[in-house]
This record gives sequence, structure tokens and C-alpha cells, in this order.
Amino acid sequence: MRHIIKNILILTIPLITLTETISACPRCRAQAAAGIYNADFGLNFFFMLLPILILAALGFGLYYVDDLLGNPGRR
Amino acid sequence: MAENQRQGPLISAGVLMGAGLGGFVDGIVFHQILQWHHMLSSYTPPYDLVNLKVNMFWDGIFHAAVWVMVVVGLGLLWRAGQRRDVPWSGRTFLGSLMAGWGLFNLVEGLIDHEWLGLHHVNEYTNHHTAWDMAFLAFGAAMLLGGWGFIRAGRKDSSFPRV
Repeated sequence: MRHIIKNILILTIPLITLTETISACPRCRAQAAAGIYNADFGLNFFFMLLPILILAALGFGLYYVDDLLGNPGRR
Repeated sequence: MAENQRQGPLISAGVLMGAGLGGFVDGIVFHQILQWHHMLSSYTPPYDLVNLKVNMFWDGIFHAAVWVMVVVGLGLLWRAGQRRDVPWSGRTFLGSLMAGWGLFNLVEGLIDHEWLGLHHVNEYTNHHTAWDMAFLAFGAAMLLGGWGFIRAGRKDSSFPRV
């Protein structure tokens, strides 16, 4: 068991030190944020949600399909 | 189906869940696995990492919205399951899921692909229209198939729950 733990540590420690030298492109992150949170943000957000809002309205509307088709049920 | 029974609550739940799950299929298959398009890939083509990250953000907003739709559908399904006037019909529910997926393709395809032009189904081809039409045709077929199952489910009136 101690042998296994020792081997895991031998493999893991170099990986941890290696990943410390790797970063996730901080410059790209700032540029991406500028590309997202700009003057078009509100419009893009609306466009993104527009089909979902229509589908949600259709879905909720179907809850009352029996009333529309003249099939009143009991609650 | 007896006159005092209602399909609406089960259809509503199934359509919302089907539309949401159809949205996830679109996102997982077309955005992530095939990478044919992203939500804004016609406006911001993902030629570099920055543009790809911008598209990933909007893909995330889209996925969050369809996740909410699935959760709302699940809530409606729970409520429908507690009502004695709603037949617990597998055909109605399956048909509603199919109709929801079909409606997703039709609504999203018409608005995002044809009207707003945010993206096309396959950005890596010169035949955008053909792929967009295939997407719409699949949606129409799913809607019609779903409608058929829902109609068949009108005969179901079983109540397995006490």
C-alpha cells in the first residue's frame, strides 16, 4: 500500500508543478469579455432567448388545450 | 378518453421537456461534438480563440435557458401526475416530447437561422439553405409524429396510481 502511495506521489507532484506553469490565456479572457459585454449585449441576449420564450409560451398555452378544444375536465 | 379527463397538463409538460431536450441535442451534437455552428457563429465566426470564447458564452446562455425549460416541464409533469383527471398515458407523453422537439427545431430554425441569421446548421458548407431546410423538415416530421401519438393517447384512460 505504501508502495502504491509513493508511486502516486511520484507521478502527481511533477504534474502539479507542471500545471502551475500553464495558464488559461488571461489576455484572451479580457478580449472575450470585451466581445461579450459590449453595446450589443442586450440585443444578443434578447435574440438568444426569443425562441425559448416563444416555445415556453406555446408549452404553457397547451396546458389549457382542453379548454380551447371544449373539453372541460374536473379538478 | 372520457369527457371529464384532460390531456393538456401532460401535453404541456411533455412539450416543454421535449423542446428543452431538443435544445440540448442541438447544443451537444451541433455546437460541441460536430462543431458545425455556435449561437452567434454567423455574426462572430469562431476563427480564433477569442471569438470561440464569445460564442461559448452565448452557447452557455442558450443551454441555461433550455435547462430551465426542462426543469419547468418536469415540475408540470409532477403536477400532472398528481391529478386524477389527467390520464397517465405513455403515448400522450411520448407524442408531446416528440412534438416539443419538433417545435424547437421549427421555432429556433425559423427565427435564428432564417429570420435573424444568427447561425446556420452547418457553417462549413456553401449549401447553408439545404441543411437549414433539413433541420426544419426534421422538426416538422417530429411534430407530425408527435401529434399522431397524442391523438392515439386520447384513447388512454389508465390510472396506475392510487
